[in-house]
Amino acid sequence: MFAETAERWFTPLERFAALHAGVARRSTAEVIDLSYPNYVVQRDTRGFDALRAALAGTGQESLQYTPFGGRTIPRRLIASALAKRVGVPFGFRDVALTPGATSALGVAFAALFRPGDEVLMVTPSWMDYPLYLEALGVTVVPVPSGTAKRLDVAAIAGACGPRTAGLILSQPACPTGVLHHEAELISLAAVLARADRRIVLISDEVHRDQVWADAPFVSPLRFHPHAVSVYSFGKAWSMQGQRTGYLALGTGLREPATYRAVERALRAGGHCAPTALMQEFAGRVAGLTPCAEALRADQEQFRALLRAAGLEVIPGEGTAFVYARCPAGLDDWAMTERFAAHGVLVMPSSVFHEPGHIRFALNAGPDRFDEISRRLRAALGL
Amino acid sequence: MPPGNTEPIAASLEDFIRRESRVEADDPDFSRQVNLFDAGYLDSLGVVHLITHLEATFGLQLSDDALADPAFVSIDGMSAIVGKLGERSNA
Repeated sequence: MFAETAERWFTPLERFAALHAGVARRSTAEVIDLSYPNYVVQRDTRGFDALRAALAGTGQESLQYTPFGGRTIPRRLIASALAKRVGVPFGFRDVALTPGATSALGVAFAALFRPGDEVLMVTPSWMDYPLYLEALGVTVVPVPSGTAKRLDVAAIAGACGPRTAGLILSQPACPTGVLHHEAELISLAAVLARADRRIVLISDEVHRDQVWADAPFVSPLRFHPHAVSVYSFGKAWSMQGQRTGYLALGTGLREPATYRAVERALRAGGHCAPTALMQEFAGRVAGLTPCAEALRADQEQFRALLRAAGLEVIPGEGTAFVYARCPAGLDDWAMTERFAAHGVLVMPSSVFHEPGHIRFALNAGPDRFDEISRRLRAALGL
Repeated sequence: MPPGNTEPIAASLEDFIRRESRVEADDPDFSRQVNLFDAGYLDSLGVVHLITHLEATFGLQLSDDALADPAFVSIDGMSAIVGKLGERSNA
C-alpha cells in the first residue's frame, strides 16, 4: 500500500485522468487531444521501417525468453552508439534493456536508493517520479526551476542535505522542453561533487532525440560519474506503446555491487526485458538519430500560434511539448477545463508538480493547427 | 586446407560473427583475439548459430570438450580448435 504522503502526488494525476476520460466520453464533436503524448503524426518513418525489417528477419527461436536486461548483442550495439552520442565509454554490461523508460526509472531507483533517503526532484517534472520513489520509502524533495524554467543550481545546492542520495532531472526537460546547456551541467556537477555523500544523478533522457533547436544535446553523464541515463526508443521513434527503453550506468557506478543491485531490481520488480522483437528493433535503430526537422517546423509554427493568441510560451529547444503560462486570473485547472470545453485537451501543470501552466503535446501535425488555433482563441474569448 | 593453416577458418568465423552480431566495420574493439563473450560479440543464441555454422561449413562435430576449451572464446582460439579437429578427422 502507499503511504499517506503519496496522496499529494496521486491526487492531481487522478483528477486529470478523470477529466480526460470524461471529455472523451461526453464529447460529440471531435476532440483534439494534445494531452498525453500519443503522436498521430509520423515525423521520421525509419523507425517503422526498422520494426518491419526486425519482424521480417525474426525466426521462432529468436522469440524465446531473453535474460534480464536483454540480449547481449542489442545491448552492445546500444552501448557503442551511446558512447559516440554522449562522449562517455559504455560496455554492454552497463546497459540494461527494460520494457520502456518507466521500468528503467523504477529499476534505477530500486537499485540505487534506500528507504529513508531523500531524492531531489527538479520541478516541473515528469508526472510519476514521486510515485515510484515514495513507493520505495524514499522522500521526494521538489526543487523548483529558476527563471524561464532553467536549472536553478543554487536552489539545488541549498536543498542538498545529509540524507540526499539522489537528484532527478530530465534532459531535455519534460514538460517544459528546456535543454540544459553544458555550463549549467558543469555547475550542477560541481555542486554534487561537493556533497558529503555520493549523490546519484538520474538523467531522464527519453527526449534526447527530440532536440529541434540548434543547441546540442549534452548528457549530464559527461560531468558527473555517479549518474544513470534513462532512454526510450518508443519516444524517439513515436511508438511509445511498444515499451522499449534502457538504463545506462555512468562511469562512477560500475562496481560489482551496482551491477548486482540492478539485476536484482530487474528481477524483484518483475521488470522483464522488452519483447524479443523489440530488442531486435532496438539493435537496428541504436545508431540512428531521428530527424527533428519536421518537429522543428511544427514547434516554430505552434509556438507562433500560441503567442498570437496572447499566451506566454516558455522558451524550449527540445521535446514535442510546448509549455505555456496561464493568463492572469486563470489557474491551470480552469484553463484546461476551458480548453476542453472547446474541444482541445491539454495537461494542467499541477500534474507536473507546479501550478500555473499548461502543456501541449504536438500529437497533431500542421494540417490541424488552424483548427486548434480557432478553438484556443474561442476558449480565450478572442 | 594445408595442416596448421587456420586462416580460412578464422576468416569464415570473422565473417560469420560480423554478420550475425552486426559488428560495425570500423569497430575498434573487435579483433580475432578479443574474448567474444566478455566483449558482447556473442551470446547464448549466437553461439548456437556459430556452432551450427562451423559444423556445416567444415563438416565436423564439435565435442563438449571442444566447446569447454578455455580458448573457445576468441576467433583465433576457435580456429585453432576447429583446425585440430579437422586434422584429426582427416588423419
